[in-house]
Amino acid sequence: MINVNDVSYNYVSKYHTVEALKNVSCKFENGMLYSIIGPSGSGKTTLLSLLAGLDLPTSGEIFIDNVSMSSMDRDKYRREQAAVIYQSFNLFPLLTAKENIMFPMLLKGMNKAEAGRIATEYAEDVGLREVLLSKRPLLLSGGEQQRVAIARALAIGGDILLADEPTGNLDEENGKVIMSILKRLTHENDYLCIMITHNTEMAEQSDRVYAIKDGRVVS
Amino acid sequence: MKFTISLALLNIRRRIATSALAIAVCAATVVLLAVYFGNISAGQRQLTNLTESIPVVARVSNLIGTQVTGLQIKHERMQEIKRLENISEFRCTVNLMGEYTADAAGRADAHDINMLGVNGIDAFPALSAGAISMEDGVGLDFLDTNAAMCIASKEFLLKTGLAQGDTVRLVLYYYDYSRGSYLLRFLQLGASELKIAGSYTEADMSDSIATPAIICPYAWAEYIHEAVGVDFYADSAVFKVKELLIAYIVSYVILQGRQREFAIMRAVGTSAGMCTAEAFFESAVLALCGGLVGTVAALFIGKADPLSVLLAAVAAVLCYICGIIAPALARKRISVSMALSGAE
Ligand SMILES: Nc1ncnc2c1ncn2[C@@H]1O[C@H](COP(=O)(O)OP(=O)(O)O)[C@@H](O)[C@H]1O
Ligand SMILES: [Mg+2]
Repeated sequence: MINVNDVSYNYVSKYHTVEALKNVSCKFENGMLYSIIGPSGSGKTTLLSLLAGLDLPTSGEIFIDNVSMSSMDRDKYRREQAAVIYQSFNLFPLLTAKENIMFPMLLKGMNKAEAGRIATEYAEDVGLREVLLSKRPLLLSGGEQQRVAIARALAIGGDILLADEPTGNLDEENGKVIMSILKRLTHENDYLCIMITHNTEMAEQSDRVYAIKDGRVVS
Repeated sequence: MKFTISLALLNIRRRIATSALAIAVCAATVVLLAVYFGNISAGQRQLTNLTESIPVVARVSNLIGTQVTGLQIKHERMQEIKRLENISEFRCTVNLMGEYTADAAGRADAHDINMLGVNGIDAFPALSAGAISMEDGVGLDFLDTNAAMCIASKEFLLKTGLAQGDTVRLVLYYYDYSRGSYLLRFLQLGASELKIAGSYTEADMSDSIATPAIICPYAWAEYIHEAVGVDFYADSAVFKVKELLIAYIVSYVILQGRQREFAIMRAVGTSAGMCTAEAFFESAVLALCGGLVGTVAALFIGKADPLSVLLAAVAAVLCYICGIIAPALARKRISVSMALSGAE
């Protein structure tokens, strides 16, 4: 469960200060798929980065299962609980698909053989063919790369999935597949899934839609 | 720890061309230094000639690679770098903000304009000298003086109705850093005039984030700040270096391009310390390999006594490893989310 409590965030740069989020409050529960929609530049990515603990709010607090983000080990939070999926996939270019999926498990100290076995299971879970696992990301299609990214997110072993326009670089058909994987994980495995999207059709399939405009949640 | 080491070794192996280059440069540095330490008189002449022919360029600039955030170099620091013996072709830039106000005839409204101070047009690689059309008989040399002259973009001239040869009247602003970045203030520096000696097209500029509407002499910007008694900060410096700094810069440059990779590591929960350890280990392995190859080569060439060779090897390896510390510290400051949300 995530509780966003009166959060504001400013980007301070040399030329000006951008108020990217203004007094945002909202709540996210496990087992629910949330969509965040809003025009470009409205603060969606900023909100997701804060939910991922990549930065702290300028003011306000975010609570993860009632623990304040500012007081927790945020690296550990990303290592064990919250996974982020991006529009541009963000896979390690030098690692094979399988090594990418294994990365979070090895980081946590699991041995290679077991990490490899589990990685194969996750890959199967998101519909990645076994022959693709030994390839590097650049040799895979967009849809396949995004499946690797989701499998790597599963390998974190947590219950929070944060996705920034996960289907933005994919064609319609692949977009639908990714969407159905996210839906299944949320409803069958009790994930808390938050997805930024531009696609209204996909937003309609989620359980709750938050609309952001100019850094404020408007509905 | 075990994972960090195996990841570092994997990176070295799969990036074999870059790794080989790093080893070669480190080895070459050891040989150069050995010659230098071993035989000062004859060696130095040789070294000077050698380094003249290796075009190593150091670039101190904003760490994200854009011109709009991050680095401020104190003016005194810039002067210190410029005075260093093993540095040549020093170029620097400074960003300024100006406000263009209508002239007496009221031809245009106020515009916020982006200005760039340079001490030579090659300080701004996005614009080549050939793409600038100058007034007859005027060269670009004035950029290395404090003349109140400038070149302006055609887009700016069009917007304001000004023409080449006219004088543009501006109100300049500066940033007050004295209270730390969270309380950045924007203060007036006063009104100034610049004669427009040439023009260029903004659309011609390649890969420049903030395209300047006006390019003026760096020393003029410095003069304007000094006249008001305000601290002066530059944004970037580029210079050629010789000797010791070579190895340092190579390791720095090699890790520079990998911010996104480190950002991905951070996104899946790798701590900043562990990222640094990984980078450190990776470079240390390359430096030690290079050091070893260089030591053997230097002894084989026989231009220096073993003690000098050893000294050279230690100096080069340390220097190389130092190159990791800078980007590692920098990585703590870059925005991970920014590196990750950028398009492929
Ligand atoms: N690193 C940054 N520095 C300064 N401003 C930023 C930065 N990242 C985003 N912004 C600004 O913050 C606002 C919100 O951006 P973002 O969260 O990326 O919006 P969205 O994802 O909805 O398109 C925008 O006005 C954007 O220009
Ligand atoms: Mg966005």
